[in-house]
Amino acid sequence: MDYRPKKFELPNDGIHIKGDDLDHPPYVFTDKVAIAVDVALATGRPLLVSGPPGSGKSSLAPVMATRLGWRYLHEIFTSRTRLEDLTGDLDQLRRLSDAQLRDEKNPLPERWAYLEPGVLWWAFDRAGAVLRGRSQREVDKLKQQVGENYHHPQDPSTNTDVDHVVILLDEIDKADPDLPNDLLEPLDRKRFDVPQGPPVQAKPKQQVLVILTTNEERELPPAFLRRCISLRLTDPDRAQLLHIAHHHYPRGQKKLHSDVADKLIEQRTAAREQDLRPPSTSEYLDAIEACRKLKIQPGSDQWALLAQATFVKEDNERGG
Amino acid sequence: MAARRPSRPRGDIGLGDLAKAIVELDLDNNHYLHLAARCLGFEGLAHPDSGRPQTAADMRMRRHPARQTKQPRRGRAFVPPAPVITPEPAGDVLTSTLEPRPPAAAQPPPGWLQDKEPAPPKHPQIIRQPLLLQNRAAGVLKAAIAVRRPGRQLDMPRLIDRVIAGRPLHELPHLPVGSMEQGVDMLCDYGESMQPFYADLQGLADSLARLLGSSLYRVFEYETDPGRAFEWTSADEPLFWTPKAGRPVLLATDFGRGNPRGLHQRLRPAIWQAFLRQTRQARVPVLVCSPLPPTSWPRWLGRDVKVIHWDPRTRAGSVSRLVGSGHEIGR
Repeated sequence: MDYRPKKFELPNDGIHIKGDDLDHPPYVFTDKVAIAVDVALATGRPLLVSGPPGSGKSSLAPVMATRLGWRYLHEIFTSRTRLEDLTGDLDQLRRLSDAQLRDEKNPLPERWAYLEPGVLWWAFDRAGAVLRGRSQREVDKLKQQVGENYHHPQDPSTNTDVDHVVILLDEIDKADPDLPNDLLEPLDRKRFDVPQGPPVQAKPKQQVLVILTTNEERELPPAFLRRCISLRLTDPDRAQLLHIAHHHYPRGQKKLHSDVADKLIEQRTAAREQDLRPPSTSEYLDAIEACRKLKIQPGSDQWALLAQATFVKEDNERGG
Repeated sequence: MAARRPSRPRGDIGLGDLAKAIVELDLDNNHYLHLAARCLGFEGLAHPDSGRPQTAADMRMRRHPARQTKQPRRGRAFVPPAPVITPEPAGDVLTSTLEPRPPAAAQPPPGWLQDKEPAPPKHPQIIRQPLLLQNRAAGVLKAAIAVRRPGRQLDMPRLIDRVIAGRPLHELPHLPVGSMEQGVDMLCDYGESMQPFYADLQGLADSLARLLGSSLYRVFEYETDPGRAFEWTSADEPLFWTPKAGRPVLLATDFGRGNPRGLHQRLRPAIWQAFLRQTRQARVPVLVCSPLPPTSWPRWLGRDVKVIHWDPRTRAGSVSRLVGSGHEIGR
């Protein structure tokens, strides 16, 4: 890698080794990846990462949080994810349960006591999320009122000493087709209104790096795409695979790493020709790990069996 | 505490973002400049190896190239051919024998063949209007294939009833919403009478691919019997459709009505009833799209079969009125 990032630091070889706080495998940066992240940080735009499975889409965000020393938050999208899951919503069930237990001596707390902040709220205004958008005095008064029954909102952030934040919104293409459009304003203006709650806005000087990933299984709305920095990850080439293997297993056999890499590339090509899911970097490392532990050499009979189990999942793929 | 002034909406990525990137990142190297511009959706900043620069519009359109959608293969349905029974010859039918004549003498080529004038301009291609307009496709299909499930909004009347009745609440009742998480199976009628609509069948499959993604829809074809619909596998073998519980079926057919009466390609009631039995047993809701108007629909379809007129004038609202907030999946 030749590019030297301006907004964050990277080792000269572009490989991020395991951090202390976040346990992640080595991540290999390329010029394209480093520039895209730099552009996202410089422009304040969300970064939309696409690529084949196992190419490192979801790993980039926690790696960047470690490299930048920022807080890290994440949300994995499903078909049921709604905007309120990301911003904040009332816990109606808890409110109703409390209503059934309360009496005149112990009145029901106000509605705001049941607000549950979402990741965007925690990201943009962590202090406000802790207080559910109220003042410290109101919260203290509530705590006196309910005592040990006070329900503290759970902060999902790591590294809570820092204001700047990296947010991973994973697999956005799995969400309802309307959700990306619902996210336009919160991501654009770093502002939203919590339903039945307060408005939330990030401080002007707070830096927020939003990384979204997509498996491209569904088209995203053009209006959403026009507001995102695009980064398409590709499968690591042979040299990058060897780099990754070397950093995982610095004392491992180079011949084993290169033989397994050659096998993976061969299987990857064959899988693409047959319109099957190609093996990923994770499977490459799995294969090396298995060969090391079981003392299997590439080219042997045992290796042939191992390659089939690890790389080619034809029957599983067909079964869906 | 003074309210913060809301930040100005930034809108789409534009030259301002590119300028910011160039200045803040001090991009003085052509290669890095090209990479930065490309991830912002710009092109035209010359890269030594990129060759002829393309327009920014081209790059934005290609940022997410369309994935190869499943192509329903057009061909005859996999039905064993019926044995051909030829009638016995009726005897001599010619009253006289045919005598061979010598071939005609070769004529010189006509003068117009030597004409080197350019061919007359072709008539402009008549644009064919699709049955499902692209700008309406997402809305219409969402209304057509959505499955009912609990939404976010509480069902207050039910909730109040339970609280008043003193019944314990294990979960909150919610109002139903339509969801596409079950995906859809599309059964395409590729019978002869549907030939004018083959392009629309392809268009419908493409619209489903864009809306749902490759993992949530399957396309099958048939000719006379939807229960025998199939798809071609990569090994060139037919894989017959089997209903998947909870996954709606979208049937695109004219019921064979475009064929003359009495022809076996017209959908027969017995076949249709067998298909409905199959889907009911599997608890699979069925929605039919027919390119023919309602007056051409068979009367024996059944009252609980939902049919929409597959027509450019069909809107999401009319489909929603027919389907409601989504298909009910039986338990």
